[in-house]
Amino acid sequence: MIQNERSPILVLGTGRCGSTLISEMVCDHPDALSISELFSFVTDLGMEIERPFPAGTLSGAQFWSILATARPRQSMLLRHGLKMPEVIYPFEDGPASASDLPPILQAMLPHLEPAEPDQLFRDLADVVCAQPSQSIGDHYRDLFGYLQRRFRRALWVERSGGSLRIAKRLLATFPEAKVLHIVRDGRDTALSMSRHIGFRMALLCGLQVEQLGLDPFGSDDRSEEEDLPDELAALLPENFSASAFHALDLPAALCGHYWSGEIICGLEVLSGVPSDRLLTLRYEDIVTDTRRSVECLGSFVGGDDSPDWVDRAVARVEDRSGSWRSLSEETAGQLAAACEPGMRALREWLLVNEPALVG
Amino acid sequence: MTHILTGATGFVGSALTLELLQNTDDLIIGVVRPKKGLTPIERLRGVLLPLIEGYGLPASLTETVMERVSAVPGDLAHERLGVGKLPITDDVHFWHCAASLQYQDRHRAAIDRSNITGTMNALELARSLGADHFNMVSTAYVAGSQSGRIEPVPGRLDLVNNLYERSKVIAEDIVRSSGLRYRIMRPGVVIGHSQTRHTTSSDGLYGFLRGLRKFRGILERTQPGLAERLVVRVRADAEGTIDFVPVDHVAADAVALHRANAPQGHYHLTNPTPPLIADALRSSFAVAGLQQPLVVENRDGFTATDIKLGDRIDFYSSYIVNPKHFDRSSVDRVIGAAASPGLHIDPSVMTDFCRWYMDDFELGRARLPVAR
Repeated sequence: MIQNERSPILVLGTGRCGSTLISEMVCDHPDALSISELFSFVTDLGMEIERPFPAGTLSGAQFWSILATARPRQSMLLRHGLKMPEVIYPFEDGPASASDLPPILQAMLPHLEPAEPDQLFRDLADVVCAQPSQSIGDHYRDLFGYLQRRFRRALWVERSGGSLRIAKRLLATFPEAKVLHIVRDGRDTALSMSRHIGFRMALLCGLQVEQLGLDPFGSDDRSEEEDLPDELAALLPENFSASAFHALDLPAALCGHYWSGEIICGLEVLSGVPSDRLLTLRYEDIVTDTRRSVECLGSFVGGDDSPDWVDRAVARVEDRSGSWRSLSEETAGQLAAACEPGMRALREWLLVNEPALVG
Repeated sequence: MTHILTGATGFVGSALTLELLQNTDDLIIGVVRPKKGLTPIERLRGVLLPLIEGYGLPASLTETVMERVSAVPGDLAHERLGVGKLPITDDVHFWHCAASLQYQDRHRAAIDRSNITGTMNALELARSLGADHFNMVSTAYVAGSQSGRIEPVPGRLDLVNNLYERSKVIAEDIVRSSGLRYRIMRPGVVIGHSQTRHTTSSDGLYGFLRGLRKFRGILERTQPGLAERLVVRVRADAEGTIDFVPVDHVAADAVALHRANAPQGHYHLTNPTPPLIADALRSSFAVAGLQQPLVVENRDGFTATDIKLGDRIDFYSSYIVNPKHFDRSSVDRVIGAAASPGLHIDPSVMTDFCRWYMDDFELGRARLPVAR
């Protein structure tokens, strides 16, 4: 039910930290509109961060282009059969093809309207294109407002995997939002990243950008191609193959360095969020102390938590804990060393900003 | 006398051209691949004229270039380089400087096409022109995995470190068996001008530096501040030397050998006073903005990050392990006092060379997509 206006919520995390579970729980909540993976896909897995946050004003049609124009990296993955679990568009039923699936049809709309995501897409095209020229934040607000009315929800909760890296932009765009910060042991998170299609793609694209001196998906200049190791050259857009993608050696320790960076930078941004607008949840607590964690989440979302919702949310939790302990001693040692700066920053952060469940 | 040059737009070939112009009255014809909408002579002049200032040479050399340098279209991939009849009536000296400096496995066919087939095609052209001598610019690092004193003798395929060295060993062999009088000139790792540090090369030292700089970019993209903290391991023989030799010294020795009518043979155009590998690493890492590396003897204990850096600078590992001292006696015997005295490259000079390139590289770098 739409009640008095309530603060929206941004769920921020490094990715592979349990935030998808939060989206699933929120989706069941009677008051909350669960926006899932919007910013993962409009940023093309974090490689086009500036595009969905332009300065100044833009028309409704320009905003629709951000939401609806297929992005090259995600399209490349899907063309090669590399579908990450977050992509839930029903290809077997819908008209969209893997090679040009719009960002909001990857997960956001199927998450809201599993049976008819394409109808919702068509409806949104009319609504969004009719929006006046305004700032990007107001465009997003109007979009979310329309969806709240359509689904009769009091607030929106956006959750995109790896959104901590764009936390500063999100908080600048949505200063009214509260923040649900979800964290998980860096070693498990990094190991999971090293095996996840989306993170592997994002990280390899970052390597290519630095080695080539440009974005190979945005330019056909290959004057510094010689600087690419063979394994990265094999993953240029013109050479890309699923086998080369799977063959790429992306050690967990490198993901550990990345995770540490995300945590250190992210916590710096979160330090500017007032404590009464911030909730930190540990994935490990959600798994081991599920009911209390869900109740915390419910309180943060606000409104009346029906016992049904709590039960449903609790039932969604299964132990998806990682397996860094199964690594060899040497690999685990390197992973731990790479994660240590982030783990240390997180420990210090949690001393000051107590997680939802303590003791 | 007329000199025919392949690779005259390249780093060594262009320096050689300017050196020939300054020390002979001969004509020079460059065999140049048309590129970027430019005719061969436009391309060649476009390379040579800026070098006059870059190398601090007399401005009057501009006129000399315009008068005595010409160019014909040609390509290493074609028989006789695709060059038709040339209106040459005097003696011809052939300089084969063109080569691919690629080394990655995926470029194997291109490397072989340029360096092996290209040499065969160049020999064919030289033969058809009745060239008096075939001067081939090769590399001192055909020595491969050998260490210590390196004699000016044929290289061995079983010792090469990479596809580039392999192609040069084979190409040298083809030249030796061509029946033409040859001089195989083997520079060390050629760096910029000894006085101005100016370079048009992006290989050797500069490829290594670029690899380090890009590695720093990867670290920073991965985790801001990581490059300032992380100490990586590099496998190297720190106490050995690395043969960095200024391009003008290479050109001077090569032309001096020609003018002294040096006999057929192998010549190390190297630096008699090369820098220590430790100093070279120190300067390179500092200029690239990385922490000083931990120099180790083998890869035991390498972390994933060390291995990733190693992958990016792997080609250059042949320069920093198995240190070599190149025997210049065949050069000194012919040109004696006229031979390059060498450039003493202390850490400060080394840093100068590195910084010149890195400043230029940073200027030309496009803004990359943001990471956050």
